[in-house]
Amino acid sequence: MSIVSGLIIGDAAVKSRLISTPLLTITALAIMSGLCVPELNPPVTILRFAFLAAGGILGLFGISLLACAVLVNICATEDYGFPYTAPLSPFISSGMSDTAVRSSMKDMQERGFTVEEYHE
Amino acid sequence: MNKLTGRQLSAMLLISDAFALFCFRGGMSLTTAAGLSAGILLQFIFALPLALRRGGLSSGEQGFYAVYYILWGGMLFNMQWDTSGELYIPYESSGGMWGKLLISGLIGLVCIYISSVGIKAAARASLIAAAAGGVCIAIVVFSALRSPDWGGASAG
Repeated sequence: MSIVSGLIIGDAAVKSRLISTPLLTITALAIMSGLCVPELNPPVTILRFAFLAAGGILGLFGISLLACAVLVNICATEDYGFPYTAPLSPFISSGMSDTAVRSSMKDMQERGFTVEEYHE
Repeated sequence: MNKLTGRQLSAMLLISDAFALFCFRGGMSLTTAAGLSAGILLQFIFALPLALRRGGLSSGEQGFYAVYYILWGGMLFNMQWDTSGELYIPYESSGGMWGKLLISGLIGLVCIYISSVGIKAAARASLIAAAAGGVCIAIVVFSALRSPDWGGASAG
């Protein structure tokens, strides 16, 4: 029911020229992206308000600056001494088989990789 | 938290070059583009031995890059000050003195925050930003090559 109502409201809002089609598309994409990793929803909710304020006050420049600060904050985070962004940054090629595209369990067991390689 | 690998240093060099490109104003002639590319290439040739080697930098290399970054930072600040007027900021004219001060101050604040978390985090972020920038440049070059328009190109 929520999908149908979303479609009807979106269509009505575009036809009545309350919002433009690109805005509706971007909003729909943003909501769908938010559903990819549900565990990240609470921290992203706070960040969303911060980005909204930065964009409203300083425009695209503010969003870019805040994005830089958030990226550096993520890169500075370490879990038990291991970089949060590893193996992307620092780039460890042997650790890339368990990121966006995951190798089979057999391959990962045989690659001879330990998490100790993430230490810089 | 303050030791860099050669790969991270290369990424930081690339990011600083990209910032200089962002601050570039007006049309670019083929000669200027060639000079700019040659400068970036030279910088990378000098950084290549460091990038290929695993581990940290020697004290001499550290001193050289410290002086280099101070001079390069001053030049980037000058370029950013001149380009501030092109930015759009609601509620404030970015071309005026207060707008320029606001933009420089905000960039300075983010730089201070980055310094506070350490150069290691900045280097890791540079690697991600450099990879994203490389993908963006590849897309721009690919789309430009599909429908090139050499009419606006000038040698001088």
